Amino acid sequence: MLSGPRRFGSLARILALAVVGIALASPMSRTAEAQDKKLVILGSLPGLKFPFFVHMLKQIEAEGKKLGVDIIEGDGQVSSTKQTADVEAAITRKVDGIVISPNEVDAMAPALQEAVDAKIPVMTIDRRVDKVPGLLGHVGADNTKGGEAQAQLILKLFPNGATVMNLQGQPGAGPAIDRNKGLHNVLDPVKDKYKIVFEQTAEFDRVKGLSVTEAALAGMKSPPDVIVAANDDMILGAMEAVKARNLSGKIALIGFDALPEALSRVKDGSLTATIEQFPGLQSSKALDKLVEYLRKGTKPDPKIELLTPIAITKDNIDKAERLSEIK
Amino acid sequence: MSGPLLRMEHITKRFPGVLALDDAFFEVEPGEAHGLLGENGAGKSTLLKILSGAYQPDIGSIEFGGEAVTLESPLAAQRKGIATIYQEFNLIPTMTVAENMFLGREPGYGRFISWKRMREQTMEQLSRLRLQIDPMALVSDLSVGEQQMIEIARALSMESRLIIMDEPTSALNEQEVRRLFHIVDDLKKRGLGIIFVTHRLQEVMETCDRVTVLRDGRRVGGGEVARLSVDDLIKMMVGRSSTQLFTRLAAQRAPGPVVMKVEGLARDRDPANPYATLLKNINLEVRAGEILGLAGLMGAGRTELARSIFGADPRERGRIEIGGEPVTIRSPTDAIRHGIGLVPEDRKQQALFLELAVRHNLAISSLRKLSFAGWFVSDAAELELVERYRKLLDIRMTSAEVKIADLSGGNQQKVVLARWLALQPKVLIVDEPTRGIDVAAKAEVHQQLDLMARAGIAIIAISSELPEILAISDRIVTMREGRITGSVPGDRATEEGLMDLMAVETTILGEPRSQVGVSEPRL
Amino acid sequence: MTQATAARQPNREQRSGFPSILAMLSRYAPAVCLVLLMIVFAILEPSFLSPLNLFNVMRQISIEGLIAIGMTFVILTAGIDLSVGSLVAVAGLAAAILAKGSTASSFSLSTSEAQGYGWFAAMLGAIAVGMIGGAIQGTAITMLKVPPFVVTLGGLSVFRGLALMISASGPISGFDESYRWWGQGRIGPVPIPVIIFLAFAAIAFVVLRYTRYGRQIYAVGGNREAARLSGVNVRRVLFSVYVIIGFLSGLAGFVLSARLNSSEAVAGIGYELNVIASVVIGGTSLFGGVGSIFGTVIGSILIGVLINGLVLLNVNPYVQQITIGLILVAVVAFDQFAKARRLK
Repeated sequence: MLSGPRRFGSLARILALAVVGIALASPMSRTAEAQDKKLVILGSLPGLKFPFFVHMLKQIEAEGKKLGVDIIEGDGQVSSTKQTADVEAAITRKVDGIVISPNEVDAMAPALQEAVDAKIPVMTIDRRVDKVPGLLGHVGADNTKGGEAQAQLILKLFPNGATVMNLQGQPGAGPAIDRNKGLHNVLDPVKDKYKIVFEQTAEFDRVKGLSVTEAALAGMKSPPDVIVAANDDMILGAMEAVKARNLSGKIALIGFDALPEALSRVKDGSLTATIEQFPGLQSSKALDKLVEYLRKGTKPDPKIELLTPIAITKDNIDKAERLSEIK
Repeated sequence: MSGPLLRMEHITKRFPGVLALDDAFFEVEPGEAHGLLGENGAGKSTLLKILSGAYQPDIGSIEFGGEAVTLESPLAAQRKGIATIYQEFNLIPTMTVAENMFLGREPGYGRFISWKRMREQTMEQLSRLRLQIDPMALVSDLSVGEQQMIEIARALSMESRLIIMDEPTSALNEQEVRRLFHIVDDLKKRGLGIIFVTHRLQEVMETCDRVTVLRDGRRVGGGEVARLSVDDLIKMMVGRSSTQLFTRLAAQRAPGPVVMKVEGLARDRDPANPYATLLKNINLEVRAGEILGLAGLMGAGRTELARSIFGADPRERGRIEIGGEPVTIRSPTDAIRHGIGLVPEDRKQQALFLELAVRHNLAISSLRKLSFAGWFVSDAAELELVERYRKLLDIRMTSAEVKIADLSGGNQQKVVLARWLALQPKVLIVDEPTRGIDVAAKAEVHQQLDLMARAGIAIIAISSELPEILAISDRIVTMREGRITGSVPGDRATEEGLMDLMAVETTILGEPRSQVGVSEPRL
Repeated sequence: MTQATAARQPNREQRSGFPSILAMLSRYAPAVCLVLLMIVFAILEPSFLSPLNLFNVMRQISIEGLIAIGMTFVILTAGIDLSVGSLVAVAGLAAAILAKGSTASSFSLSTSEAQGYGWFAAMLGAIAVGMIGGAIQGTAITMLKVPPFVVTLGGLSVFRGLALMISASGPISGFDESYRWWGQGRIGPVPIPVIIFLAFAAIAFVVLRYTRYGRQIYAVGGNREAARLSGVNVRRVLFSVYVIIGFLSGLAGFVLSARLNSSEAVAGIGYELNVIASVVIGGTSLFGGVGSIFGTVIGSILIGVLINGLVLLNVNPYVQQITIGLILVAVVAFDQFAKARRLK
């Protein structure tokens, strides 16, 4: 007898769950759009599971607050398909502009073309898409240049040559390939003096950085002079392996990304250096330029702005963007 | 102790369409081994399940240790001191002896197990039975006999006062049987009651003090073993004449030429299925338009024979000829191609697709015939087929689209028969064709088998119910322990005669007692 | 006993007399949930219902949807395929290499760059790679009797490694227009991937519903032993479903590369879980024998709509993931609940 009402009950409950979930999760979005003229901008990052991208998003949001624009957050979940879906949804919503760091430059090109076709200005940050002609502009720092900066530091630290161990990033991922390329660009011409004695992927992962380094050190007759890694997580992992073999201070350790944790290690001397690409500055600059274009119609000049990545050592640590985050 | 250990009175249990127990009476004294006998379907297993708490009786009272009890669950029965040792053991093969012994009541502190205490207590229990088994051994590494001993030791460790043994010797070798009987004697001396369920009448004569014989859910006889002979027991078990239940249909059929011939078929131990009965040198012929009854007790190897012929299980040796031509059968697909069909023993597990509609169940084997371009099943042709067999077999269903799970057992079985009829087989093997269906439906199935035979199909019918075998068969072949023990024309066979051929001979005390297990066919 | 029966009887009659619209609702629980969800989104964000957005959603689901069709075949036989995402990557790379004649990436936009064998060879190559991958796994499952979960878990790793090896020099991108058309083109307003997805859904529907082979799949999944004893070649059926899902994964890899104008080794990561989710939401039982293509299409759309709607509403990305997870469980729970009701 109760079956009818109960069945309705469960239906209603699920519906209610959905509505409540959505309502709770979308604060202010409706009211925001109701106020006329407030710009709405999509800030899309490759994946918010990486603190690096969270930092960029935070900078975009902080800058947005300053400029009085609304930011829609887009989490690509490290998938070009997901990021494409985000961009398409933003086009449907008729956002005023897009600031995006593409998960994969080639794979995101079609989606960005759609945005351009819909007359939505797009600024790219960090990773440049050169296949879509109509993009508004780009602010970035070349990953290849960052890899070169790592190598240049090695040349500076070891003028008489060195043995190098190289921890590569996620196989197939753009930044991993470019950073590796940069390192080789500089080191390969001087092969006879600077020898890469070990080269292996640790997939951008701290635990892998530790285990790969452990294995490598165990297999080597004499430890390398330098360990260089394509991101900070891996070098921090490698640092633990170095410590465990009592080699601290005997091997130069060079990371990448200038994460707060790495910076504090540089500060206390256990890490030799990390590479600063100014991701936050890239992000806020890109938003500035976009808003300027939307409000005044001035196109960014130069269209492509590349910040020069620098190696952060103990001596110039004050140049690091996220120094203030160190406790 | 005064009075019986167990007394069950007026026990009645009805299942849909079957009266399994009908005012049954059963009594066990302390310190007694009591044999519980009866044909398949006489009500033994239902009685055991009531005793072990798996079923509740509809009517009737149970007194245990002098007080009225209800056994609402297996756990309750266990707590009261009634332990059941099933044919297929309730041991977990991947765990150790000690773990099995104390499963669910491991000694220790709070939630933590004390392995030391568990090991010691297991040793103690095992030594009570004078067993030398390592408590830390994995059960899967033990022999069948040892596993059974573990079950008994576990029952004792639970302070059981009544131990039920269901076909305890079927999987044991001679030496193990002897040891089991010593232990039974031992338990009797300690005042425990033992219920001994078996087909092996010889063993009953040897170990039991008294027997109770069930037939059609009632107690039809019993008493002290010393005053009874094996022949008396068989008479009590068989009781009525077969004509009372089923009309004999075989009389006017005229079997034609031999359709299938099986020569020297044998089946060795199969690691995938270690409990299967091994088959030795089976020779068999079946003629067009004939129903060949295959009779035997549980474990005689009837189902194994059927599955081996059909290619469902591997066989090591043997030639099969169809219509005089030797054929190779390695899989059911081969068998079907050569015109052999099998209605398997367990309808739900082996024949039905419970989630699918009746039409899909019926047509699954004939899809090729119903398809155009060899691929696309014609709905119209399929429905026509279903309609034809619905009429022919009088399958009662609201539509061809209903799930087969919603049909009664009898109608489900008719669908399975129809599946094979639609293929127009030369030989059809039906394994327990009327298991679990009501009496009216049984008669209908018999009638259908008769019609199929008249249409020229050679039928091999396996049944545990002798009256059924007698009613439908032109000829009856008996099996025992993987061998064929006799062949009797249907019109001359009697239940007593078949029982003789089927019953298991044991040579337990070294001297074969052959007065019952006559292996010569009585032609 | 008799009293109890008597008391239950009238109850049952009332139940069966209940309006059949409820029976309908419970029968199509996932579809009902989809419609409700769409109504909610449409109210909260009117642009959700714009044709452009709806076609976008369909295009977004079409690639995983294609694989979900194959996964339906596999799960109907009580199997599973975890390797699909990796197979998509390998197939996409195979297509890219065939199309471009080398593994080098080209960034120029000129259409004259095709020194390779063209889109047709690329498509066939991707499909062939998928089918070969499926056939290898099917062989391991049927002949070596390794459980599908284990075989395809191995495949997940093997094919991903293969993809990384092939594309060591980075993503391969920049295809000619006829190649890209398969991912980016439209016929009228309808994106090509959507047409491919729906076409294969229609074919799969016909195969499962109207062919012998379809019946055999349900039979094998419903009761393997009964299927064997009924003369169904169980091994052949099991083998074939892995070839089918390989075919569709290969095709999906090709379409994805055309859609993104790029093939990368990390494409398709995590597809297996989304695909299995859409199949299960569509009412297909992981135990086999029960399910339909219609359900899978609904399940795929439901996931796509959910993601799209939450993005449109600017829900916090972290909360999005939580919401999606909860709603997926709720839909399947509702389906189970409705089924239980129906059976009583």
